Amino acid sequence: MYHEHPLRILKYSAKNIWLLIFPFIRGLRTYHFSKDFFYTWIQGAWKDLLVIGAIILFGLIRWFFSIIDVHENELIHRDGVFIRVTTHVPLANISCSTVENPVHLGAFGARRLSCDTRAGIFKTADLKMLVNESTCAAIMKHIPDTAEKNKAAELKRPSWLSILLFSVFFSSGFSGTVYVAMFFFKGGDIAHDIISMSLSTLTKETAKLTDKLLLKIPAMALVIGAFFIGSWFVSFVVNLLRYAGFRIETDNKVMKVSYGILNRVEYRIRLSHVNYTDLRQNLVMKLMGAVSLNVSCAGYGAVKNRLPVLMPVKKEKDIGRGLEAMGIVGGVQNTYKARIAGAGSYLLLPIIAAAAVHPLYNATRGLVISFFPKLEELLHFAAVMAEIPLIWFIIVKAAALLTSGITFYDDSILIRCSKWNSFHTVVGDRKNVVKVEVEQNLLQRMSKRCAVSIWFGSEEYKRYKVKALSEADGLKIAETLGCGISLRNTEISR
Amino acid sequence: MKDYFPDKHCLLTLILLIILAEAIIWFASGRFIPEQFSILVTVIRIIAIAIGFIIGFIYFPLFFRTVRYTVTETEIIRTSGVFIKIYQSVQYSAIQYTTMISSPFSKISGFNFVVFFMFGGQLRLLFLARDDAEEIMKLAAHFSRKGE
Repeated sequence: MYHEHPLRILKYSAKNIWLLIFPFIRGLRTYHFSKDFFYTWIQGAWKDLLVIGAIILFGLIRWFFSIIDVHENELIHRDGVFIRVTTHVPLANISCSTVENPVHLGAFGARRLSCDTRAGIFKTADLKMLVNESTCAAIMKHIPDTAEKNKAAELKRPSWLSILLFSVFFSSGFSGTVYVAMFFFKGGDIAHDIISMSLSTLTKETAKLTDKLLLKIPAMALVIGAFFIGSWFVSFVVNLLRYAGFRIETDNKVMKVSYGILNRVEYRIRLSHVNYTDLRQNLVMKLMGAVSLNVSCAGYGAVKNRLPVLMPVKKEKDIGRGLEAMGIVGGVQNTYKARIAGAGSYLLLPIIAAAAVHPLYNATRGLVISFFPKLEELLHFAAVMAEIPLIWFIIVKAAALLTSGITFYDDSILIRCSKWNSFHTVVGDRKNVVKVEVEQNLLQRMSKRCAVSIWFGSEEYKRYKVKALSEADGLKIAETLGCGISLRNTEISR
Repeated sequence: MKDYFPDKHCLLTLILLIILAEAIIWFASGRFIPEQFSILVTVIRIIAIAIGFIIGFIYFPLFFRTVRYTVTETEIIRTSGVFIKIYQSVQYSAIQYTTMISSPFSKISGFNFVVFFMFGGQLRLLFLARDDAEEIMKLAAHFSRKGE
């Protein structure tokens, strides 16, 4: 039988913080403009101390009644004073257990321990505890660990360079930040002659700065641009600290991942509970042949601001090495590919949007010249800036058209698809597929094409959609996954 | 296979709680609403009594009569519903973990709840006698282990 760490008393006490309303009301009642106010107030201070004492006492009682029991097969947590809540978690059902060791808690010998099962629909841990080191060790002794003799030999520790690249790419949208900053720097430059007088007087210092640097950028635009670059840099440093010291070990049953400098986190993931693995790329990573390996498993990446990343950055050609236990095999080609003839499904909307920029620019230019002639150059710049992401989007979708598809091998399914500007290669066990949807609009019906969407059983409701597949391929995929879907009022043979 | 039913003590406790709430509303409305709005006081009291009567003396007795929890070797079935009958069945293999919630004096009040957490949701067994709740927890754990 174990108790939580005494620091937990503070959290339990905080729940009764509302009781401070009584000292506050007493303070208001005794308050009056006189030199005797302090003496009047201090005379009744014992009542305030009594309330604070009661708050801490309630926290202490609540902590005392929070009891953890570890049995051979299950973990039991008893909580509550008046209303008793007893939670039984069978150890075999724990998908992921997490030990967090933040510096500020480490100084008191405390650790955050959470266990998550596949129950529920939200990405929250089923059991969260603040325990001391010895209790944590005693509980973790019952959680399966990687066996030394079965460890995958070829699973290399990610290099510092890969962590650095990962932090660059996944820090609040690197390209987005560069784009927004550029928008403000360059846009500000153009707008200088028009609006600098009103904006650069915002603060004298920033105006002086722009003059000194001989930049024709208004102070406000400079500040906003610098803010975006600065926030990205902060995000980059935070990510670097968060994922530094990344370490991964696996055998055929358990995967152990640990990372972080200021808050070292250790995850133990039961491989049989992994819903699917997701190899993510953006266009730059795709061109460089790099992938970021993510995993969908209850509890992994459930902590706020953490990505369910398993390999920060890995070369695409090396992806199969050491990850066979997770069903990942390198060099697998698409059996069912997106058809080039169905390019419209991927490219139509981005092309329409990109093509619409020029007519819109022309249409509004006349109005701007008539009413705000000074803003013409700014409008031109805005049109160019709007065109850039749309052309980028066309390139992304063209790449998606060429690479999207679905493959079956062994008991696994591999889906290559794209969502917005990212590419996903999803590998999962066929039995984890919970829903299949074959979609056909009027044009697709005429050209005998369709889109196939697949959902895996997980706490998140995520759709992976491959468009522009041939109708026969779509039905065959559904049939392979055990779904008898008919698109033309004829039953397919099963 | 064994059937469990909600504890009859719980119905009595609920009715007592409703009567208590009614009394509070009765006195509070008379105390805090100014005298010139006496019609409003009467309306609030009548509505409160009507709702309390319907819930306490019609809905709850019917609800308690329709609720049944069946524990078999493979699944737990919950049958409930006054106006619309609902049958919910959960396989032990889908249950991930269980929680039992007990109020103070739950042996007398019958306020014991067992919640089964499983893939994509929960199954709540409400208003059980303490012994029944503990027995269901034990049976569920036993059958779950047997099925592994």
